[in-house]
Parts: sequence; C-alpha cells; structure tokens
Amino acid sequence: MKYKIMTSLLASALTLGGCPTISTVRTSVDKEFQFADVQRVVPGMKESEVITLLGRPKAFGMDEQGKRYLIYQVTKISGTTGSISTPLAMGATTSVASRGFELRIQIRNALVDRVAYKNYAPS
Amino acid sequence: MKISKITSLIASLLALAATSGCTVSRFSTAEGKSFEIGRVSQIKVDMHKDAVTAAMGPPYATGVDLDGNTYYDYQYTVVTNSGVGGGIVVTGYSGGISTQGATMHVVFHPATEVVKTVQYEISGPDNYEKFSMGGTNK
Repeated sequence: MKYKIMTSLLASALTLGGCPTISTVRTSVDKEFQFADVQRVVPGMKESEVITLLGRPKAFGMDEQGKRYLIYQVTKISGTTGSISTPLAMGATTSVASRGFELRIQIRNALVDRVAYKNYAPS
Repeated sequence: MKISKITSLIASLLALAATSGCTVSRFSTAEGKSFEIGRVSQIKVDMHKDAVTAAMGPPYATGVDLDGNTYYDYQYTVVTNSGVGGGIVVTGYSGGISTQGATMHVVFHPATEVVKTVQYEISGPDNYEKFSMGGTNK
C-alpha cells in the first residue's frame, strides 16, 4: 500500500508538477581575463598591446563617425526557469541575470583613444 | 518485503537520475543574407549606391531613416549555442554562446544617392585576424 502511494506521488510529481531548470551560458572569449585587466587599457596604448593583454576581441568595427572600435564581452548569464504542466494548463516563469563586463575600446591611428565599459552586478 | 521494494524503487530512481538526461547540444541560428565580409572596407563615403551594390551585392534590407535618408543594411550572423544539460527533477544547463559574421549599415544622401555614412561590425575572434587589416583601417 505504502509502495503504491509513493509510486503515485512520484508519478504525479513528474507528470503534473514543475521541473525547475537552472542554466548558465557564458560568452565565448578568445582569452580569459579579469576586470582588473581592463584598468590597464589606457589611452595611447597600441592596439597590438591590447590584443596581447585581452586577446582577440569578440567583435570590431567602424562607427558612424568612421572611428574604429573593439568590443570585448566577458559575461555569464544565469537563469532559472520554473514550469508547471498539467493536462489542462501549462506555464513557465524565467528569471535571468548577467554577471561580468563589456568593454568598448575606441581606436585612433592604431592607438587606444577612449575606453568605455559596463560592469554587471559589481561587488 | 515492503522495505526491499522501497529500497529497490529508490535505487532505480537514483540510477535513472545518474544515467539519463545528460545531453550535449549545439544549435546555430543564422540570420540575414550572406555577403563578402572582406569587402566592407571598400565602401567609402561619397561612393554611389550602384557602386555599393556592385561591390557588396544586393542588401539584406533597405529603408528610409527618420531624417529621410535611404539606407542599405547588410547582415549575416551566425549565433551558436553549445553546452551540456540534463537532469530529472531539477534540470541544469551549462553552455557557451558565440557569434560569427558581420553587419553593415550604409546611409545614402536622398538626392544624390552617394554614401553619407558607413558603419560596420564584424564578429568573431577569427574574423579579427582575417579582416582587421592590422588595425590600419581607421
């Protein structure tokens, strides 16, 4: 009897209940570096020195004013999803939060001109 | 007997939890229309719209901005998600995301149809080596 009750409860939990999902997604980077390394990127530094320090950028480009830039992104997005599924209704709720930082380095004449960054959840 | 059945049920569930649900996944999403990334540096201010099309091919999208300028958008990006996930009662996933490709936005003077501004962004560390031209395309 006890066995049947336990089996039923487990079956109910798996078919009617919600299964929480915990996920972590990192941005792929060429080289791992810390936020402290960002402070070492200063105007006048050579672009090649930036690459040595931080690795190849996630992206590079040219803005509307014709200014060249490099983009670095070292972020980790953590998420939790709770869901419920029954024969009559189903639903889910997800919460996500980013950690890490993003960096935009403006280049002029192959030298660092300006540096901007965004730090998620700084400690 | 009862204890034996319960023990065997728990053991089965633990075995199931330990052996199932561990999946390696890799999903790629491509967006836009393929174009030659190496040609973005050929597009310069004052170039005619026809010359842009000749160099880059037809755009992915065209439009008119709030200032009345016409523009061409070139885009081809591939976002790849890869990781490992699994579990039964609680599901976990750990993975990485990477983007390869490029976008380019070319704005034209409405009257003369020559390039007014051009901006682009090329994604992917490998593409930095291929297309950054040693940082000389200021």
